[in-house]
Amino acid sequence: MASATNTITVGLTIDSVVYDMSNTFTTSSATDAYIRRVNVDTTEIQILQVGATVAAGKIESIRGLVIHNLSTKNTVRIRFTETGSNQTAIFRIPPKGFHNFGNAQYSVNNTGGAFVAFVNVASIYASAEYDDATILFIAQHD
Amino acid sequence: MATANLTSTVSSTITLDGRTYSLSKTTTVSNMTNVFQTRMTIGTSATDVLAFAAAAAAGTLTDLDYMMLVNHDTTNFCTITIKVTGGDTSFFKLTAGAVFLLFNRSLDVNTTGAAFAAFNNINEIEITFDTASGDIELLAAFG
Repeated sequence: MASATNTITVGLTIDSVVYDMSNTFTTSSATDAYIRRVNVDTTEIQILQVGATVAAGKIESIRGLVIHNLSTKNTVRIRFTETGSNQTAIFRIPPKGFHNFGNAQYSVNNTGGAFVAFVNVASIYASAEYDDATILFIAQHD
Repeated sequence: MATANLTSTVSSTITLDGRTYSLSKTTTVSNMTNVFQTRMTIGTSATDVLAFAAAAAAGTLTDLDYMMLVNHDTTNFCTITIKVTGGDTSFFKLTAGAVFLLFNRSLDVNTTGAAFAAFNNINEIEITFDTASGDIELLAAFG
């Protein structure tokens, strides 16, 4: 039996008004798991490959990915690229923050253009924005 | 002005052949003052769900420290469009039942595989459902 569960909760109460949210996403056919803790500096490194061929540091696809920035003071940049290193998206994770993805599909343009088609992420890179940081991530696919 | 800390926890658990791989972390975003929370039914045409500008307005925030977006549909994915008006635009597939998070407005994209250049502040978030209408829930806050 293989399963994967991702639960995200948020709690916020201001002036006695509660704005809580919670969501649990479960899959019952997980096949691979990948957990990695790695230090990063301002020189970008590849932290995960995504593709069909099994290899060290590679996962076949993404059904769940959560990347945590463990630093208490430094921001981290996460860069996604597709095969051929064309479409590229870069996000900032604040100190103690995290970023999550439920699949490998995305698309970008830098012209304000409309959506055309999804591409699959092939490589994920990380770098510290200003000073050293540690990231911890968990990935799975089914 | 009333402020409060926002606490968010993400827990991931994978069980394979009786072996559990798990990771759980909680983060606190301090001094929240503005909150926007909504549940909406979205169709298959792109629909604005949140905007950012210098002045607050209906559906418009002036900043972002945390956003949680849930696709409550049980069948269809939706596409999240995150864009800097007329510029950097990204599209992410959010499968049925899944969550998308943002901790800030920073985005940089290119179509050449190039390295990071500079972050731009996103101005707008749109949702488009695939196949049929579906429900989303959104919480956004900043301090």
